[in-house]
Amino acid sequence: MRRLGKYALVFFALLLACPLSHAGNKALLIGISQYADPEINDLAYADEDVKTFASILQNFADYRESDISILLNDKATKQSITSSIVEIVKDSQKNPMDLFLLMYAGHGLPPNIESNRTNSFLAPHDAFLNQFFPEGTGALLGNETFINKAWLIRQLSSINAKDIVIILDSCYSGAKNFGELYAENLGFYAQFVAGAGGKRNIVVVSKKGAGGPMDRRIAFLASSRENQPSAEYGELRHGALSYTMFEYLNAIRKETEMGLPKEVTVEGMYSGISQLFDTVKVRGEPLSQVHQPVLFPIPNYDAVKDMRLVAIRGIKMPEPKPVEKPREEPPVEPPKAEPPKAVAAPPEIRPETKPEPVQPVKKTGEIYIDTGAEECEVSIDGARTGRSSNSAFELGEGKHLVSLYLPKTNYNRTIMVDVRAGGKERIEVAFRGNLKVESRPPTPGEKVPELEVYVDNRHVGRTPLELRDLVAGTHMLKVTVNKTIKKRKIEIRPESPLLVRYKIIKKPVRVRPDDTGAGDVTF
Amino acid sequence: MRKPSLILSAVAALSLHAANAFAQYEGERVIEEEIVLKDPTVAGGRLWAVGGSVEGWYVAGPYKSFDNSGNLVATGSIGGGMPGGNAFVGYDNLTMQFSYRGGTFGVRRTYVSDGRETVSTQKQTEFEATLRYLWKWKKHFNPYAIVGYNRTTLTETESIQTPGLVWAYNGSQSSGDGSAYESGLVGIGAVIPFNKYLGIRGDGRLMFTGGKYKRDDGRTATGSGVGGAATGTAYVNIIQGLNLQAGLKGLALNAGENVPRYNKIGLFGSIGYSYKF
Repeated sequence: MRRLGKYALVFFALLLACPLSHAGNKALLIGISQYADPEINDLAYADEDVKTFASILQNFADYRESDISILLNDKATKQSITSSIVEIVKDSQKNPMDLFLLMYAGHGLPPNIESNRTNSFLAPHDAFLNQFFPEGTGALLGNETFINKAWLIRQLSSINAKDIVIILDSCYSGAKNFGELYAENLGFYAQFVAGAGGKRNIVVVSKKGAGGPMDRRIAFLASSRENQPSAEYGELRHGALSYTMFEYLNAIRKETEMGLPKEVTVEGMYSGISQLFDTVKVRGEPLSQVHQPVLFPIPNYDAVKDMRLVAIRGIKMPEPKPVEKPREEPPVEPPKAEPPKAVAAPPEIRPETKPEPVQPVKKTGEIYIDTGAEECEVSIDGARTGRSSNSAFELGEGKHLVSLYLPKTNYNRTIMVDVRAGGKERIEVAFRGNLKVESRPPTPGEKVPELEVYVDNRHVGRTPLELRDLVAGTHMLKVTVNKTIKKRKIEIRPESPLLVRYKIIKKPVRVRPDDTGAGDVTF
Repeated sequence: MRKPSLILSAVAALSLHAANAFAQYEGERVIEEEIVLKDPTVAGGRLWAVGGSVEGWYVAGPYKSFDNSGNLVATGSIGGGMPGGNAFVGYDNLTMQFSYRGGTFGVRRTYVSDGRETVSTQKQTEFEATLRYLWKWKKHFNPYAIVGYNRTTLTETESIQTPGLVWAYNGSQSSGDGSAYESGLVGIGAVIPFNKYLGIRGDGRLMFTGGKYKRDDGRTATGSGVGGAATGTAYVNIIQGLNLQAGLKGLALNAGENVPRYNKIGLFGSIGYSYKF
């Protein structure tokens, strides 16, 4: 019995030691800004959006680091994405999850390419556009380098989680056949009814035939309809869907008392971002003019609307509470000799003391954001300060998301800072990254010509080349050799050096460059 | 107030946190891209070509016959042509070509000795196999060398037109004979492009010939000698691989004193196509 008591003590101690987290929550976040195929445009914000979302989950939504898997840029290959998803499916069979959250920010394919249908969907880092091939009778185009819809749906349908949230911030992500197939895989019909249930772009899903109750809820949130590209904007410094999500979450944080969690539901999030798509304007046009978010709720909207996406902690200072002043007691006088009896005096009437509101002491600290030679525009918790970096900011105690935007290279970096009351901190944020450019022969040992390297049309040297302090953000890399020119956009990131390796392949010329036609003369 | 050193250490700790929050997911990124260089040094020795051409040789004009001692025997005129064709296969600068030509020439002669007039028909065929090596040395000068084999046959039926005269050997106004010439040939030439489309070509060949002669009365003779051929053309590369030539061609068949010699010179034209792969 005493031993049992000891175990119980250890158990409770362990419970106390655990951070406040949802052990059954898992998130897989994929963000790809830089693609291997030079034919696929790079994205300025996809990777940073995913990092920002990860930071929000970790710092404000009580996700543990181990609950979040992140695949960024060249780590997000088809192999790594598929094996991560398969791993999550396997894990969920052993340890069922409360909530599985998948976020993808990158490129996506439309359901039809030049009137041919395709099941290729999301573009991993190593996707190549020139590898489409006709499948079956030829009406279907396949590309093995992309993530396939049917494969993704099979995996997502196999995940053993009570709730599943899928957020796709990519072009054509609200693909009907993806939603339909997903619903069908789970025994439902998906109907695309505009304005169903008074809500825009919510797809109505109905049960197919008789069957047991749905044992899971799925919210699939796409940034655009299947015929719409999704946009990212320098003005917003994010992809449109990511921007509206962060804005909404920041608004919730600001209206929720410091440290208290507030549940963000599917309904709340979808209404919030839809409203922002209508009200936020870029270049005079609302975001919804270009594309609109789409929500697929499975089994139906009513079942899913109250589903919790995240529980996010607030940063609002507590409301002033009325505090009563302590009542002044009459001084206690030392006992005196009894006076001669007289007529008792009427009791003194004191005015009643009114409780007065007391302003809670605002605990603030100061941070100095040092970005070196780069002057960045600073936003704190989603709100633009109108000030530049390399200056001090007074912030409330606690964690804050600080976004630093460098307009000249269109680079936005978000960091989390933890402000201590009365503290003065200097935060140095790197805005320089490394670029290496090298050329390699097709077979080792073979001599290859050096490449002339240009960054933003400025000649910077010959291969092999390493630039150690290139400003973070988007640049144009150009290499030339023997009148051959290769150009591509590159994304420089401070923590992630970029190596661009050119493999030189010598191919026979069909016609000699100096061919004078002599070989064509018969004799 | 904090001391700077303390502030710096706090800064270091905090900035480290800010900078490396997702370091485990990042690290070095690698992008691989291919650059395809068109390299003539790779391709130079590996060009195959196949093709063929049709050609024609037209001879018309005055005609002179000499005996094998070089004395003028007859004068007259000649007219006729030898169309033909060839097929070739090439690898790099080396081309193997097979040609066949066949045609008829009409000849009118007036013999110097007795004023006898004759008309004859010469039927000529030619098979030739040649190997050419073309040196692509210079932009405007590409010499070539040729070796090969040539077999030419020529049969002639000659009729006396002057009344009362007959051939002495058969007592007839008509005479028939045939010659066959087999030659090993060597030659040199050059293609001289003015630009990618226009140029001139010329070559000369020595033909080391062994010949056989047979007359319609059964008389035969053999011999050997050195003949030759020469061609000079101007050409146009109409499109890549399609070549049109026009010029002059001459042929001298010589198999020694016992076998008839024939010399012809005329207009030459050809159009050919070569496909490279």
